[in-house]
Amino acid sequence: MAKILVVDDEDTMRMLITETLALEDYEVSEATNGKLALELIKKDKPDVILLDLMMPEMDGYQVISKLKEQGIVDDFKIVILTAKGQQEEKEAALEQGADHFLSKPFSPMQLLDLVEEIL
Amino acid sequence: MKGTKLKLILGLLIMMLFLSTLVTADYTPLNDKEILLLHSYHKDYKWTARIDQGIRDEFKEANLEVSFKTEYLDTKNYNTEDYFRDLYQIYRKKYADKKFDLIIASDDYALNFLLDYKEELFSNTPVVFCGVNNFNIVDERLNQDYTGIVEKINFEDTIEAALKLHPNTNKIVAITDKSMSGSKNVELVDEALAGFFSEIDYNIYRFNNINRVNQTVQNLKAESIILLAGVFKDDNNDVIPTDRTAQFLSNQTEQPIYSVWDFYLRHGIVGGKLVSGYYHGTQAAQKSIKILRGQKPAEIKITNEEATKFMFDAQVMEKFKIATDALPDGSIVVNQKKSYYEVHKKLFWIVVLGALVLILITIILLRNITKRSQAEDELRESNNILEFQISLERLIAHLSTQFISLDHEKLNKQINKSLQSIAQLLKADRSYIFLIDQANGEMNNAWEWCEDEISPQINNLQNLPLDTFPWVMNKLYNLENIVISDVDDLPQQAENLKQTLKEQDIKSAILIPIPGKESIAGFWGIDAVDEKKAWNNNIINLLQIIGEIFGNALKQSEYEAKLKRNQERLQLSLWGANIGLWDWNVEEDEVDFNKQWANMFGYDTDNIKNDLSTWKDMIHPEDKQEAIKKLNQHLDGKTDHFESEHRMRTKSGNWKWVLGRGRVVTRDVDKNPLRVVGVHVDISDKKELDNMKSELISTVSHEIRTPLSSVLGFTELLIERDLPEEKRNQYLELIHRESNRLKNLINDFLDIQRIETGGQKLDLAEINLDSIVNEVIELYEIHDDHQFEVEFETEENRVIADYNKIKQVVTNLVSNSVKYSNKGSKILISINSNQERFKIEVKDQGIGIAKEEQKNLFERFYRSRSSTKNQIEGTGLGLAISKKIVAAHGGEIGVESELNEGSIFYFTIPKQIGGGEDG
Repeated sequence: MAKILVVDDEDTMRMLITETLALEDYEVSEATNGKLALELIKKDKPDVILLDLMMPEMDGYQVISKLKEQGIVDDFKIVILTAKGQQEEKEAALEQGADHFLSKPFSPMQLLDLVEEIL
Repeated sequence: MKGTKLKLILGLLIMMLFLSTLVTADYTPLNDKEILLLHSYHKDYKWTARIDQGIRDEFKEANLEVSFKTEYLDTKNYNTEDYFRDLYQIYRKKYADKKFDLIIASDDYALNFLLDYKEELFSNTPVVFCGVNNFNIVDERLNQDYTGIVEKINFEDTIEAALKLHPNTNKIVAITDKSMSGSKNVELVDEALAGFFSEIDYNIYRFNNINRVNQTVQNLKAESIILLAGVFKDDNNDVIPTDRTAQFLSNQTEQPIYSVWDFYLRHGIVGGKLVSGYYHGTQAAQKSIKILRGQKPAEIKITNEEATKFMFDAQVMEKFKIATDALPDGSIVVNQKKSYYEVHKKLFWIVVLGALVLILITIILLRNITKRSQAEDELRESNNILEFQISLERLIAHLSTQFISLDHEKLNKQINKSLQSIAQLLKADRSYIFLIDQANGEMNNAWEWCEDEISPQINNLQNLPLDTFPWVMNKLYNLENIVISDVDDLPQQAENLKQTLKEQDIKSAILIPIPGKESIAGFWGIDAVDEKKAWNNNIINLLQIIGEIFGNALKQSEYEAKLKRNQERLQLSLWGANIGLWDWNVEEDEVDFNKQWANMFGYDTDNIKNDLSTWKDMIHPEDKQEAIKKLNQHLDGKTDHFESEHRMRTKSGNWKWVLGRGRVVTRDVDKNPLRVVGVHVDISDKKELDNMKSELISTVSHEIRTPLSSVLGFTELLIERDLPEEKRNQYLELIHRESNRLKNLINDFLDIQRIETGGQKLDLAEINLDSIVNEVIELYEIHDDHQFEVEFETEENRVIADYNKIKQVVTNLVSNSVKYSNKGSKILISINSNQERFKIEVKDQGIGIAKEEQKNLFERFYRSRSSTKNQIEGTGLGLAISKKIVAAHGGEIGVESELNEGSIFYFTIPKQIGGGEDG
């Protein structure tokens, strides 16, 4: 059972992702910000991290940086959720250690396919 | 044909001339005749000289040119036979080949000589003799060649006359000489005296030597008469000139001396019946001329008559007290006591002439003096004028320096001073400057100076229409000087001017145009009240120069005023726009900043270093490279100007966004930049705005995308999967909610747009504020956990306003309170009013707003810092929209808040529309 961590400050977005993932048998956990996300990563060690870039307090990029710092960034499959016009952030994040990206709005089916692909 | 005719006439004329000479002359021409004058005595002998002169004069008188050969026998000194023989020899040789046409012989010796030798010397030559005493008519030798005049001396008449004149005479002494004629004379005297024997005693002496004569003369007693009948010699045996003889003798004696020869007269003798040698000469010549003309000597009678006249010396007469009327009739009195005039004729004439000359000189001198004095006057006059000119020129030179760089106030003073100096120098009564206001078609007397007793006219001469004096303006526009020496002489066209001047008693005036930008700026002039003045051209020219000086000064002052205005404007503009000015001297690497530049960064101009490195150091490191690159590009000429947006550090260490724009204004010959000038514009606000905009855009994108994403996502789930009904409902509800959110967002945007383009029209009606508040609360109470309370001070809160818009404002305020305060906290909405307006307050107990944020709250897209922190959604447009709405109603919107102490948002609506200020 793959463990997927959803990190997004938007309730509705989070809900969409979790509902989508619920259609398949995935173990889903949620975090509303980067700080909580890091804690959960440390605790649960998910297989996939779905990471929204734009978040208060600690954004996606910072999470990845932190993971990189800790040297564990490659232990996880990180998918960053980007909005249009975040080209630089996207590239930076990918460089830092993100593996994939998904730009909003995305189709849930698309998400499922991607997760499947990764795993 | 013409030529021959001319020649004919000429020939005829010549012939007539020739014939006429023949006809008019009744004698053959006598030119080239040669006459021998043979004189018995010597050359200087008076008697001979007189004869000789008489001969020559006569020939001259007759207009005959003959040539004379003169020989003097000098027989007073030599008269021996041997001598004559020698002479003959000499003449023979001398005149061997000579043939004379005629010989004139004077006195006995010459005649005798000829009688002896003529046949050998000059045979067949006619002879005319004269002055001969002993003429023997029966001399054989006298042939047909001879004719002449015999000297007949009349002793009787002389003696008789003398005795008459000296009645007391008792002795006559006659003195003759020992010459040949002397002997004859003795005879004659004796004969004559014999006739008077009864009456008087007489003696006859024969002397050669003057001293013997003298002796005799001196020994004479009174009552004697001397009869001088000879010519005497001195001790050397030289003949004494006859004038000396007579003079000498007359000095030696007191007795009267009489004579028979004219050559003694005037030299001391009283007179007598005198023989004239001259007369003999003329007679001889006349006879000669006849002979030369063809008559034979034999045909010409020998004159035997007397050639004598009574002649007396007036002065000697006076000596012997002889009256003129005592003289015999027909006497000639010579040597008359000349009248003073006569005597001093020469002196008289000299004096008269001298006087005339003096008078002439005096007249000339006087004329010169007058001329000179006139010239001096003219010179003085022109000197005066010259001095005057010089003074004027000096004044002008002085004036031209005075007008350099004067400000407006000083200019005024200087002009007045100048007008005074000029008028006083020119001795005018008034001087003035008029300025022409072309736009209004008027002229104004701008400056005036006048003499103490003269009344100033400046106040009367304002706003004069230009067409008052058309004649004057015409001339001035043509840049002609108007010189009025006499006001009466003004032409008809200048009638207006004439009247005006006369009213003020002005007799003469000058008006000089002052050149200006187009045609003339005005004119200046001087008046003279008491007298007419004549102005000369040089002076006028100098006055024209003064006009130009005024013109320049006025122009200068105008420029300076303009310049000052422009500078002020620039300063004001720069200050107003808060633009900093910089001026970079590349060579010296000096940059001049203006005050605004310095202030922009929190400096004063004193504590900023004036060079390029200052500027460079202030640039934000991230922007520096790009900025410098852009600058260099322009310096190298690659770009048209320099423009760069970059951050610069303020004195307090903050970064300020600045727009730098500049341009190279001077390059050297190699196109290297020498001076760059530019501006700094504070674009912090713009940047902030830009930031906010981009933030907004990303926010908006995010805001739109988020609900959109969920709508899309959930709808896809619904489509793709078969879901249980509960799930289905849940999703649908979410979709609905999110769509609404989207709709609101878009509405907000559209509102803002509308507000921006000013398309906000108020739908005014009477609204009830309480109901609006209640409705809003109702909406929120459904979904929200806040405690809503209302406080309405007054009963009915009706006002004329736009229902929807006011509701929107209330909603916005309430929504903010809800967003920015905790769940369950209290939100109080109150309405109060006064006479002028209603006030609605929304009070919450939320996070509050920091003081520094409060002023930005109502700006577009402004979102409080805390909103991002606390994940509070919103567009940042709500308050901006509310503000606009409130302002459109004439009300005000505001906030009272402190961080963490909650906020009170309020707005007012005036009861009277238009009764408040426009937001």
